[in-house]
Formats: sequence, C-alpha cells, structure tokens
Amino acid sequence: MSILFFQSLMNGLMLAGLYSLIAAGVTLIFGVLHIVNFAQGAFLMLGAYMLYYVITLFGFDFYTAFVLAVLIVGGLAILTERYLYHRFWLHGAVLSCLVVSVGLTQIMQNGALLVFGLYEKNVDSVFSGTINIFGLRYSLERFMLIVFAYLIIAGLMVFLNTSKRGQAMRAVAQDYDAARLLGINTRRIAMLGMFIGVGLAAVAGAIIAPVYSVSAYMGEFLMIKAFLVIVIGGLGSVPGALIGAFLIGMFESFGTTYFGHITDVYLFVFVILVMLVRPTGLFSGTIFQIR
Amino acid sequence: MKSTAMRWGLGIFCAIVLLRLPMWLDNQFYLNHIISILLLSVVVLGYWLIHRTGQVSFAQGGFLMIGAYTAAALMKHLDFNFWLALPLAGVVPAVVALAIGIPTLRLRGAYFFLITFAFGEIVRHFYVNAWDPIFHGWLGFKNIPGPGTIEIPYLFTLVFDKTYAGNSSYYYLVLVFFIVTMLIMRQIDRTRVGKTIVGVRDAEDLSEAIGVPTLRYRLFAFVFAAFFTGIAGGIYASYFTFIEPANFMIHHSIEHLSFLIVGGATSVWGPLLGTAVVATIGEAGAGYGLGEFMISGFLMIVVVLFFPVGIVGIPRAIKRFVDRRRGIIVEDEDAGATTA
Repeated sequence: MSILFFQSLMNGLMLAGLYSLIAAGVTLIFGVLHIVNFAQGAFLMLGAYMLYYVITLFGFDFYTAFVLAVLIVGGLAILTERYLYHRFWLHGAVLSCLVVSVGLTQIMQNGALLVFGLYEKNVDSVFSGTINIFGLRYSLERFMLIVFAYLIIAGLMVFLNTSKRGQAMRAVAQDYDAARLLGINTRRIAMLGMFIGVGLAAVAGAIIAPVYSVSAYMGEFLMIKAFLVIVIGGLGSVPGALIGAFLIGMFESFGTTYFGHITDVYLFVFVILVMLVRPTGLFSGTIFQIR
Repeated sequence: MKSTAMRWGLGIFCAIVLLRLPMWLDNQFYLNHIISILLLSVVVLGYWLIHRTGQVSFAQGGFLMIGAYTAAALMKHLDFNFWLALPLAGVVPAVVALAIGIPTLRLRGAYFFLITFAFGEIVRHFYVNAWDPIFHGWLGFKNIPGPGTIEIPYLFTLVFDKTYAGNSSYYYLVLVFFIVTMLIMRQIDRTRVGKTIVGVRDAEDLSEAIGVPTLRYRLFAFVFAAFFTGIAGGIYASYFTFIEPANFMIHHSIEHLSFLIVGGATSVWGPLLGTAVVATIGEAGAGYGLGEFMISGFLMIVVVLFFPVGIVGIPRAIKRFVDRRRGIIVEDEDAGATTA
C-alpha cells in the first residue's frame, strides 16, 4: 500500500465521518419534522465559534468546552424549532420552511461576520504528533477525529434503535397520528429531534475547529457536500446518509489526491448520474429507512 | 376599469420619467443603484418563472456566473464584439440548464432545492479551479470591455464608458433589457403556457393525467430563466468591468431569493418591487453597520412567517380586509403561489 493511497484512504474516512455527522443531522430532522434545515452549516459554524469562545473566555479545557458548545447550540436549535419551524410542521410547507432556514443561514453567517470579526480563529490542538497504523504514519489529530465522529454516529444508531426515546422518534417519523394515539408526546419528540439533529452539526463544528480554522463561512462547503450526500442517500434515511457520506468522502479524497481541486465538479457530475438512475436517492424507500 | 386614454397617459408619463431619469438624477451613486436594481430584477424574474412551476431554484446564481464568465472570456480572450458575446452569454447557461434540468426537474420540493444549491456552488468551484489560464481562478477578469458606441444619426448617440454619461448609456441598455424581459415574462404568464405552468404547480398529477407534459413545461421555465439570467450576467460583467468568484457567493444568491420572497410571487411585478425595496433598505442599512445581507435574511423570514403574499399582495389584502368589514367573503385567488 503506497503512502499516498493510505493517506487518501484515511482522509476519505475523515471526510466521510464529518459528512455523516452533518447529513445524519439534516436527515434526522427531515425524518421527524418533515422540514429541511438549510441552516445546518450555519449551526456547525456556531458550534465551532462557541467552542472557541468558551475556551478563550472561560478557560475551560477542550472536553468541557465541547459539551458546553454543543449544549448552547442545541438550546438555540430548540428555540428555532419552537418559534420558527414549528408552525410549518405537518403543514406540508416544506418550501416555506426551507426559505425561513435559508434566511436564518443568511442572518447567522453574516451576523457571525459582524459579531466575531473577519479574521479566522484558531483553537489549540488537543492531540499532536502522529500515529503508526500498520507501519504507516498518520496525523493523530485526524485519526482521533475519525474515531470521534464514528463513535458519535454509533451512539446515534444505538439511541435510535434501542432507547425508548429513540424508538418514539422513529415512530413519529413513521406515522405521526399513530404515534400520538399511542401516547407519545410529539412536541417533545420534535424538540428532541431538532436538538439531536443540530447537535450533530455542532459536534462536527467543534471537532473540526482544532483541525481547520474557525470562520463565518466554514459551514458552507461542508453543507454542499452534506446535501450531495443526502441526494445520494435519500432524505430521511440515516443509514443512507452514512453510506452516501462514505461514497462522497472517498470520492472526494481520492479525487483530490489524484486530480486536484476540480474533483468537486466531477463529484457533482457523479451525483447527477446517480440521480438519473435513482431520482430520490439510492436508499430511500428501502428497509433501511428511518422515516 | 381604467380607460384606454388613462392607460396611454400613464404609459407616456412613465416612459418620459424613465427616459429623463439619468438627466434629473445627476448622481453616480443613485444611478448605479437603479441600474443594479433593474439588472437584478431580471435575475429575480428568473427565480419567479421557476417559482411559477411550484419549485424554488437556487441555481440562478450559478447561471448568472456562467453568463458573466462566458461574456468576459469571449470578449477578453477571443476579442468578441459585445453584441456577439451577449447572446452567447445567454445561450451557454441555457444549454447547461437543459443538461442539468433533465435529471433534476423530476425531483420535487426540497430535493430540487438542495441539488440546485449544490449546482450553484459547484459552478463557482469550477471557475475557481478549472483552466486557470482562461478563468484566472480567484482573480477573475478585469477591464472587461463594453459595447463601445451606438450611434443612430439624428436620434441619439450612446457612449459606453465609465463617466456619468457612459453609465447613463448603461442605464438605457439595462432598461431596454429589463422591459423586454418583463414583457416576455408577462406574456408567458398571461397566455396558455403560463396558465399551464400554474396548472402544473397546483395539480401536477391531474395535469399529467390529462396529457400535459409536466416535465417539459418545467424544463421550459428552467431553461428560459437561465437564458435571461445569463444575459443579465453578461451585462453585469461589462457594466462593472470586473468580475471575480467572490461576486457570486451564497449570500448573494440568498439575497436574490429574498428579493422574490419579499416582493411576492403572485404577480410579475413582484421581482421588481422586491428588488427595489430590499436592495434600497439594505443599502441604507449598510451605512449603519448592519450588513445588507442580514437585512435581506431578516426580511425574508418576516415575510414568510407573517405575510407570505409579499409586497404585491398588499393591495389585495387591503381589499379583502375592506370586503370582510362589509361582510363579503371572497375566495383567495391564486393561493398556490404563496407557498413560497
């Protein structure tokens, strides 16, 4: 295995983990609330900024700051759900809600530019050095990022499949009326869905803050990729998002290594070709589906 | 009902105001603002036409960029005449729209929005990363030539340069382009094609069942919108003489979408009114340190939440309010257009 190939493989895994976190959040919110949260990338940016400010202003260590940042952004998400998105829920007004979340993105990104300043912020690395995997070297920080992302994803899957709340969430996603008849508090489930969905984006923002730099538009290019993942994976399917993220991450990593930055264009062509075969995504309507 | 004489009078009055405007203004800043409003209104008319089919496209920023870059590259590298490059700046995005539209227009609602958003961003990636000697990456083009001089003996001479008079010439060019686009869009909206498009929006399965090729109508709207957006891009490149990928970022696209939402999609006047109002408020707010983009996002949310018909819906809302006070209840006409 050549070093270049190995590095691309590991970078692909890292990107796949990141995209899974963001896309799983979007897809979870769509499954439960039937709305598309365009502001996911902006929430990601907010997560990274919160991490930076909690560390620099209050002097907490990385892990405490991480939890605090995710909780703050999750709290904001619950407020967003209550006061902005909730009225669109069950009205089938997908596009109206989408427009609202686009406006929210605009306010958050440009507000961040005004409030937090133009200059990029840097969060100190928690891990340094390299790790040996089968005699090949890789950055420990990025390796931990992969581990962390997949741990969170695994936690999400366990939560959705085994815990009572997770099963209630899947029930609401599957049939709103039947879930209500069974005594599930759908409002609380909606809030929880929004909290977890946006929380995943905040987690992604917080774990990439030490690796990339923190800036107002950092969520934008990740959001494009997450949406491509969703188009491939199918809206509302969490496993579809994971597989889509793996495909896109690997494609992007190997493509960038061997063809350069033009890969993003090839990636789009690839997604269009997938869409010609399966217009609503590879995995929508299959047994995997959570929605 | 307005009489024919009143209509003619109003038309002639408007024509005189519009024609004399640059001579009265005599202020580069206001003239530039008006040119921007007219030019962006054409882009927003593209959003509007696609919105008529019941979908929200986010690809228009991409088409604007393709148009601008096509015109700039043709004029800078191949020494094309402006009047030859301009139609091509419309045709290239239209062809791209055809290629993108066939697979994507089968998608509904959110899917279509997401994929067109991705497309708009990918176009920028393309121009930043592909063929550096041609598109110059992040640097873009500078010193893009204009149309030169148009001279019609005994009538007028238009010189397109960077003086106030030159910008007035651009004002007339953009005005003509805007009016032509507006008339075409209005004509589409009034005739059978427009009615069918609205039918496709309101009852797609029914339209399909009675033999309307719904995909073809959607494709028509998408390609048509891309064509006019592309030409607007070509004029944009020549008017500002300088384009770079940073002129076509996501917040610009969101701002253009907010023009449509605030203006309202129920009438062909919505794009112009929305652009004029939001762009003016944004420009005024920019002086107070409020980002113009934040203002557009805020207005967009407020309009969707509290007044989904937008500015063009205000007269009808007042009429309905008065009617209801008198005890008349009228069914809402064209309700489907407000599900933003």
